[in-house]
Amino acid sequence: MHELSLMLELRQQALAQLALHNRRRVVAITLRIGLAAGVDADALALAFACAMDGTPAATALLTIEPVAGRDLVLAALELG
Amino acid sequence: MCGRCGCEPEPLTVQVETSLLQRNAAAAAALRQRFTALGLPVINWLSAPGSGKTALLEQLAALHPQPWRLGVVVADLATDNDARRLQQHGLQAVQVSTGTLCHLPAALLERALQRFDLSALDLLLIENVGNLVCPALFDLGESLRVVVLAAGEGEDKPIKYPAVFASADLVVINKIDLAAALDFDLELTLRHLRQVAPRARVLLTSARSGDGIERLLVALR
Repeated sequence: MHELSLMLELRQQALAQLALHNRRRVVAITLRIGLAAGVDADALALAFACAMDGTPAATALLTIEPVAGRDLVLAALELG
Repeated sequence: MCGRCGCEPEPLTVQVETSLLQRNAAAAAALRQRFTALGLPVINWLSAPGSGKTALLEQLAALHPQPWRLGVVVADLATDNDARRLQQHGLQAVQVSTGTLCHLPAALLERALQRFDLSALDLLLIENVGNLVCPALFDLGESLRVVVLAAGEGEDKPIKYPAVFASADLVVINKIDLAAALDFDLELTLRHLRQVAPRARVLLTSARSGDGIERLLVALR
């Protein structure tokens, strides 16, 4: 369940960007996840729902771009 | 809303490009700086549950004369059994209960280290939570990462859990005294290991017989 730790970190980063840009909600989140990063995409999606529940990112669309290597990166946000 | 007509504002796309391990990486970097300033070697000790992590540490602690002042941080989900086992050997051992957390993050290690006088140690060992998946991702500021694999755990374990083995500086194959009884194929295991960790050093040990403990001692220094 390290996926939950990662998604709690994502929540913190996404909400900080939201405040920084003075926007109201997170519409979409794009992650770049390395195939060798040791992260399971399904577990990540479940942890994402739990971590974002009740926040301005609760309805955000999550896109995971699989890449080679060990990347665990918040690539882009769409803010509404 | 725009404040005039009540419409939604144009969505704003922000290229962020930050690591999801950012906070742990920052905490680990601060720890690494502290350890380096003290000249203290720090070992991140990883394995699945039951591979003999604690038993190997007991063997190291039982060496006479004790070659170093050894400190151990032991992380488990619950109980302080392992710390008590190690304290019986005269080691400075501090238990961290991670609760429901499957790995030890750098911030939690930092808190545990408040209970040590690091300047009074020659070597710090961090026995991570028994788990081959989650702890692989979390840097603890260590100078050496050791992964312990026990004979009989399955020859394909390195290719089943590539992330943790790929991150290892040293792989210890423990319980080697049981290899024959368990039909453990060492050659096949090493072949699998080389696929994911071509540069890692490999040591064979038996925490029961004490075989390989001296070599382990040298490798940890």
